Amino acid sequence: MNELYNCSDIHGYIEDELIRGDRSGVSHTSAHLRGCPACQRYREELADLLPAADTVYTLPEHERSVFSARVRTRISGRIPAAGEERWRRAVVQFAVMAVVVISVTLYLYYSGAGREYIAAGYDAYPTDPAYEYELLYGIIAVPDDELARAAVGVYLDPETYADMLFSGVNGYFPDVIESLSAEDIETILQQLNGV
Amino acid sequence: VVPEREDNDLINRFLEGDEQAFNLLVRKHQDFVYNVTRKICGNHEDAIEASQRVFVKLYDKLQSFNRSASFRTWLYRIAVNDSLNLLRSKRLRRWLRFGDLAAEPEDPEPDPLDAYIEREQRERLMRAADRLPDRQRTVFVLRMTEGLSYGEIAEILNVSVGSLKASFFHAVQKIRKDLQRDYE
Repeated sequence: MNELYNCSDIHGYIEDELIRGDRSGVSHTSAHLRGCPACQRYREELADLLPAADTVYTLPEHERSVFSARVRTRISGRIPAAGEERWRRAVVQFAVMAVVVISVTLYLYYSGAGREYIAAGYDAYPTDPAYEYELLYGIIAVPDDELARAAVGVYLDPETYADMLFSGVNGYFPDVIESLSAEDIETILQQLNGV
Repeated sequence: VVPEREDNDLINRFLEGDEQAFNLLVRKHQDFVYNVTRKICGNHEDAIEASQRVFVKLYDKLQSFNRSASFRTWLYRIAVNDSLNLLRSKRLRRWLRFGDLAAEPEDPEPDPLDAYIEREQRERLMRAADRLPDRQRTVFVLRMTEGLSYGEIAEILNVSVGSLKASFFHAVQKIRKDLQRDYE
């Protein structure tokens, strides 16, 4: 066996010669092959396989004519036009904002245990099934005869009763207040101020 | 015009906004890419899918193509990687379907009858290659049927020449055994 080249190197030369027609390693190969049955066998095996290995696949004719058009379709289907991209981004931003706003609203609405809500008018009657529900969740039920007082209270101190925005009675109190005379409001204010 | 220079001209034109230059690049290399993907994927349908992906990727990546490297080597790399990725995802899908190994669709390519025996031998070889592990099959295809040097394959697959030599040697041995079994 040639001392300068190991079998792995010789395999490379054999492959280059048989596959690529590169005969630059032939002199090393022939010297090595004379004393190495394993590499001789490798050369024969490779030579046996070669005739079947020159397969070259080409696109079938019916694919050839449409191939680049299909690539184009894929690219244009994947890359939106600049205007379309801006429009799509705006929709996504709007959708994200909408989801955030709705989530926060629902959270504030349903995490109401321990907070004060005001239920007004017919919702506050003990016979109303909602009444129990409202009491259970810490909602302040305001019967009709207390409604005017509550309305004025909310009007004067909206921050304290801000949660009413989520109680479903928003818009009801201003109507109540408008229906009150100046005298009624004065009486209520005196009650609220403990006078 | 030297082919590589022709490629560079087309790439330059495309990067300057000439979309038609990209179409020309596709037409010029579609057979080359299909040949590689077909040999690695082992069937026509996957090869077409992989080839299309190669060119879509090419469209995205041309801007980052390093001109000091050979365009053909770069294309080889994308074609080999996309073919292997496609095979992996197919295997995963099959596995998720609990081993429902549906038969591969028949290759619709028509073949002339007078080349039947030769074709038979080639198909047997490629079928044997299909049964090799991915790495060995890829190295076998690139070395034996594409005639690339180990240096070029190492560049494409980003692995050492030593491991490539071992992979190729084992591939040849396995294919020989496989073919012998076929004839017995």
